[in-house]
Amino acid sequence: MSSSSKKNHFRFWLTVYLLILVIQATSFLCSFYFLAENIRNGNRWIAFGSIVLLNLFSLVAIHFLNRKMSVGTLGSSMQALRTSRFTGAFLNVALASLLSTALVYLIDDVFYPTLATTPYGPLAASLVFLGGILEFIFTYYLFQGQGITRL
Amino acid sequence: MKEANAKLNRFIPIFLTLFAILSVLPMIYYPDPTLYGWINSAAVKDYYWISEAGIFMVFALVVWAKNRAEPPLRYGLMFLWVMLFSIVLVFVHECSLTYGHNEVYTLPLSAVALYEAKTFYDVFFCFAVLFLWPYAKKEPRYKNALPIVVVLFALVSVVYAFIRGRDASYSYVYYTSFFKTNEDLGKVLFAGCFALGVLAYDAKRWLRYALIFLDIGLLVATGLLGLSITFWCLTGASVVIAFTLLSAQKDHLLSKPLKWGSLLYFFLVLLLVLLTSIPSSLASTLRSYLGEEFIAVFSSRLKVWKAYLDSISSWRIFVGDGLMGYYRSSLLATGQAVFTPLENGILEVYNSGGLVYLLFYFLAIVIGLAKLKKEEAHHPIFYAVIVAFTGAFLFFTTLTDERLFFSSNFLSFVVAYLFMGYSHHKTIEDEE
Repeated sequence: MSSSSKKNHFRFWLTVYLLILVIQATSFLCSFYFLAENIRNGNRWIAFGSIVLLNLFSLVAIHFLNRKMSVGTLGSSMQALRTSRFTGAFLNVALASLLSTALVYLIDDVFYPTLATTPYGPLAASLVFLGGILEFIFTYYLFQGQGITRL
Repeated sequence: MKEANAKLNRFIPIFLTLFAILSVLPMIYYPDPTLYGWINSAAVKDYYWISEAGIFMVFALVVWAKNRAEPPLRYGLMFLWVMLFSIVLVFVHECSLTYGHNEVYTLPLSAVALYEAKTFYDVFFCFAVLFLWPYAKKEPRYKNALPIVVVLFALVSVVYAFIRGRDASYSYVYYTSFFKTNEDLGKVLFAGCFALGVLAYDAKRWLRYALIFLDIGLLVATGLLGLSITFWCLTGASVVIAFTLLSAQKDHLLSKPLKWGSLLYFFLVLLLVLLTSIPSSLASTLRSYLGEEFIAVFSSRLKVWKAYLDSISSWRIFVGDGLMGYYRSSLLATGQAVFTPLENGILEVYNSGGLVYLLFYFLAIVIGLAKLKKEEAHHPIFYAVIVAFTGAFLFFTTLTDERLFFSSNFLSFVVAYLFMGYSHHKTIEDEE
């Protein structure tokens, strides 16, 4: 395989990897938000169920992708990213937070604008912050890789 | 060129001292309220802040350009992203709110712009504290200028507080000294105690003991002035420092009198806690000095926090509510647009930028701690002094609008400087 072909191969898998990771992070944060809404108002079970399902699928996908990205030429190319895992994890949570904002806006304000009867802000803020911390830790360790290329 | 840079770096602590004086001026109310009234008037307040922030940013950019001080790429990327995020927030945060019977309240555009500019400035301030001022550590000639000014100001405030006497309109012990509220007095005394702790570490022989004595005197004064929040925060920090003094194995500061002093301090704190908690007439008196302010402040803050968090919903949970967050609860409850300060540093950060800002706030503290530990690894007691006071400050921020690294208010600024911009002067023994 030529070097430009190797580069393209890596770029393709890196894009897929980051895309799935952002989807996973977004669904993770949203699931905490909808959980809070459900606990207080019980009106978002379908959204919560779908998001949790999406999160589980993306978790499985990221598990296999991480294994693939930790071996061979892909694994060695990933080393540059692994050294910036602290920043990488933060950027992932930040991007996921923005996407979650858009998703929650669409669900809560555009498609199903039902009024919440009980305030859920304190619980939602706490759960989403907890989700953000957990996602940061998860991504930080995910970026360490697996096997011989693990940092 | 190098000499010019060295001169500039030596000037950093002097500049920061002047900046601290600028940040304390809007707090001074007594003996003459003219200056307070002028700075805090609607016509001047915003311009004062803009000038202050402008001076700070220009000086920081000059230092950055001259030193060519590039932070590690990974941290540079983090800050760049958060700065871009601040710009995105301008378009995301709401400027108008529909309440009651389809009534609409719209925030003035200038107020929104100023609020978002403050948010952006806070991120820049954090960057400067973490990556620019530490260069002052290489030229520590005037590094004590800021702590000395802060200590003198705290001592003068204590003296004036006793001269002016107690404010009788409050049901609990309430002294204000030069300031409009006792909260501001507490902030000044907190800064003074922290600065004294740092100066005492750097001083030698009898001066060190004099400064430690003065530090404990200032701590006792916070108790006598009824500043219970400040008192307990500082007591907690001092207990951590005393414990480090007792358990440390290697530091040039270690001496027998200090170890015995730490043991005596432990005993006195334990005695004070017991005297305050065991019911008696003495305990009632002690509680009025060391507990009532805390209870009054905490119960009033709790209502504000609950109202704020109850009013926030939907996508605002992720990105905060911006300036509208200060009005939303009053608009929804009474239909009146009343500015309600959140009085909690962590909530203020959350309101500015939601989850991203809050996470960034804690990560910035982690980065700061890692840098401090790396640079002061050979001075465990100095490290303990800085971490103990900064930890106490973090607790303090939960009841005030102060924020570590994310605010250039007087106390936040002093703590940020002592945490990141000040270093223990290396002695010949240390070098060896």
